[in-house]
Amino acid sequence: MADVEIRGLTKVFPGGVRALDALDLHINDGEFFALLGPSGCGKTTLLRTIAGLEGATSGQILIGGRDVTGLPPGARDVGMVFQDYALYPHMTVADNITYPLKIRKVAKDERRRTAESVGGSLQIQALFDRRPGQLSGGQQQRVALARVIAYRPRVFLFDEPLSNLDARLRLEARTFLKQLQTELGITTIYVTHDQSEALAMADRMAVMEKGQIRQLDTPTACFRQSANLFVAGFIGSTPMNLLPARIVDGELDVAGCRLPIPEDVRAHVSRDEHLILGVRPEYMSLSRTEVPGALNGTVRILENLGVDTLVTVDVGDLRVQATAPDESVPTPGDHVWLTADPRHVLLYREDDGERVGAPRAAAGTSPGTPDVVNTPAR
Amino acid sequence: MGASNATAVLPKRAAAAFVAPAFVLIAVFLIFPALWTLFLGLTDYALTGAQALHPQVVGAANYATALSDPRLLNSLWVTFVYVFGSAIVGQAVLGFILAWTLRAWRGPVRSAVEILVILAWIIPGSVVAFLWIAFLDTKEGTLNGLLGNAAIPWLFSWPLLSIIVVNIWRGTAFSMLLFGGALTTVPPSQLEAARLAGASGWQQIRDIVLPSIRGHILTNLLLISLWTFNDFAPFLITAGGPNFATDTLPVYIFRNAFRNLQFGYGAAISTIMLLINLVIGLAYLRVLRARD
Amino acid sequence: MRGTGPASTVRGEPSESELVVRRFLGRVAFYVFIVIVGAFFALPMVWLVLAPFDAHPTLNAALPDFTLGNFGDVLKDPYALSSLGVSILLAVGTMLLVVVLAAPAAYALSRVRLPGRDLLLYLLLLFSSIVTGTAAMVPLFLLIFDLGLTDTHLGVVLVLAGGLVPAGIFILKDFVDSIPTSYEESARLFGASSFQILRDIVLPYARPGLAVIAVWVMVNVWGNFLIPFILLRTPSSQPAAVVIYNFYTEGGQADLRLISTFGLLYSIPVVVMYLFVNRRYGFRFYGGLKG
Repeated sequence: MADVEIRGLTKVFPGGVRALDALDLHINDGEFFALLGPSGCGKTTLLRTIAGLEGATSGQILIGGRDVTGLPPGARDVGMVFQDYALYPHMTVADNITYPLKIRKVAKDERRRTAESVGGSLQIQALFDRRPGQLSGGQQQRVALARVIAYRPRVFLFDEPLSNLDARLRLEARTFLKQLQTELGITTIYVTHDQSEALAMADRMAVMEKGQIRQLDTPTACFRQSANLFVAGFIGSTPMNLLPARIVDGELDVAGCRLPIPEDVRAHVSRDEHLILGVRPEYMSLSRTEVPGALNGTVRILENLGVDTLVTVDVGDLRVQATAPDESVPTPGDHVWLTADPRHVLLYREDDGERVGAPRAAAGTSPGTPDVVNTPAR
Repeated sequence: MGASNATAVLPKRAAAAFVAPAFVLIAVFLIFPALWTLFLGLTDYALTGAQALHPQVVGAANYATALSDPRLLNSLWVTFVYVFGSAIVGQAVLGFILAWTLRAWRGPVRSAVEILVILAWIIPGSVVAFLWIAFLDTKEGTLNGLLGNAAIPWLFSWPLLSIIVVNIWRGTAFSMLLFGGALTTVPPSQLEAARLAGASGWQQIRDIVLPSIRGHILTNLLLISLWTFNDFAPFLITAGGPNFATDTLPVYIFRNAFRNLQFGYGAAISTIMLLINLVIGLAYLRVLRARD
Repeated sequence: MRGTGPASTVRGEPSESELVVRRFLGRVAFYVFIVIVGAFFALPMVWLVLAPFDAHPTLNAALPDFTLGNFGDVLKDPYALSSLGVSILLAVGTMLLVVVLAAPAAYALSRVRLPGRDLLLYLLLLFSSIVTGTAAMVPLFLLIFDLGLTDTHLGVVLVLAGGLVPAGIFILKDFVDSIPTSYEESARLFGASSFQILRDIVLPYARPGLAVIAVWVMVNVWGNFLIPFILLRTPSSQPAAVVIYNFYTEGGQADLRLISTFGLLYSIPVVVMYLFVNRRYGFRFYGGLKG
């Protein structure tokens, strides 16, 4: 059980690729922490550097207050579940689970007992005598889990463990993993490129791009108060509407329509300024009668999402999307008015993509250690 | 790997056509002379004397002579030591060690070592023989020079060891390259998982790598044992001496067939060699496949 | 990197400073090993690059009494240059024949599961070891004689190829095994014939394997003494592997100047060929495709 602290961590690969750029990060003891981002953002590199599978170019890594930066992987007391599970094909499931214990010279009886208790809690005891090649993807994943749980490291590292499972199984495994982590209470760092996964599971998360952290916050904060255009565009199952806007006469002008400026940012914008307005389709309401302070346009496309329908509306040159519940779905060709919920309207500056207004302090940090949001050096 | 459904990918007629030319060549220039040689082993054919004109089938007489010849038994022993020492212990182990330690390296160090090892294999056999005769020479050899002008008669006092070393020198390249390739088939994540659990390099090799590349180990040992068994190079260095200390089976056959011109007898020994190799091959198969 | 915290007592693991020392020693051991291995392989070769340039070479690899005269003397031998040309002819000829025959066969054997296929290949390998030995000399000679191919390079090429094709198939099959069949299956759906598939899809992927076989065959043929010795009578048609023995004096003594110089000349073409192939294709005895 331990917290993880990263100080000024930089990783440059031969050839000059700067995979990690002076990162600072603090993960609390027992926290489920997600690293989210597109391919190449550095999240897996960060995970592997924490594990010791990659060496840091500069900076420090501390686990439980102990500087592990120079230690080999085996001495850091971390466990990792790999994307391909890395089970040994020529060993039985039971031997796979107890292999780390065998390395640590744990006695045979104790190994067996540990395997049985871990196997029992993951419901894979029946598989003990089989080989990994005979298991399904979901079963292999549980064996990989059992293997890391069995030797009780201080930190769990997960490298996209669910991406090899099919969609339905993935959702079940998600719930299962979250529950498991809550019960075990072991600090967990979880890498994924799937934003819904990160939102669902994490206590806090870091959204990464090109080796830097673009937002470090709770999932709710990342979703509702995305700190910049990158995060705004990356998070959310349906893409956020990002609309060019201009301040005109104390209002926001979007494609000719006038919208009110949200109260909390009124003081930070100036006349004639060019901004990007961000509002999620879920926070847009649709009306077939004229409403003041709304966007208006013609319905073009409908997409059935199950409970709601995603409605794409042409507003001038722009495409704006809103979700509408079953009862009030319009028809293509209808003229509609879209009102953005002012509590969920975000404004971003056009030049650097940052959100207008003071960034909210991230929730859940340990006392005395301020979180630093890395902003790109300009 | 391979075909799951043969006809879908390659119909039998096409496959036969593809194999046919090679088969014809092998049949005429490999199988036929090989069988002929095996048959010769049952005759008393020689290049001189009455047997040259009227060779007789003598059945197992050659074999009886062979098995009672102490020189043959010596030759068998020498050959086994040669194969075991240079191929199994030498080439395979050294080749593996080189493949393992160099696998993470790129750049000049790795290239330099690889090129040196491979050059040792590429340089033609007669030149290699001469290089080592020069290197190990008692009076002027470079090795003795490096050892402070010692005068150790390597080829005279330790002839078998010397040819073993030469064969290791020559043959490691194949094992190194083959194992190098085999190591790339081990998924890195398995080794990383072991490293995280605290496994040392040796533990990773023993528990994960070796079981994983068992098939490649088998192939490698089969081939290098076979090639070393039939290697004629010792003759070029020590001519089977001194006093038959390096009289491997190929050298023994050469003496009897070429010098004594007893081709029937020489062919019989070749057959014995073939049978021994067959047994060794089957033994490898048994050992390395059984543990599945 | 600062060492924070005391010597670790977590599960009795070594302290950080111990690990640093251990890693350093590991590094040192690695470099020592590399140097020893490098020296082991390099030292015997040193003589080959020094002695040819030495007016008075001994068996010792010493700094030469520099001269280029040895080369001139070697070339005075009427067969020196021609033998190198013959060696090239035999090597390239055999290589082409082996590749052309072994590639389709390896492909067929890889894709069609024949019962006892592995055993069959191994038997062929065993047989090839007989044919390359001295006991097969007479049958080979008589066979070539009956075919009217004595004293021809074609005869030599055919015999050498016959001995090398099984191993060629053995090694190439491994390469072909690693090519996923999905490429061929999709080509079949387009109506491609087996030959087209072999030529357009399989062979390009197997190129590294073909390069390996090519080098391996040429190296073997280049050094082969016995077959040319038996089958070629005319001195001018002998390859370098045989001609090198001309450089012993009448008394049976090795003329060091000529032997070393010819040895160097004899070695260079194969080395160059290997470096060329390695630069272009890499040189590995295994299938190049990874998932």
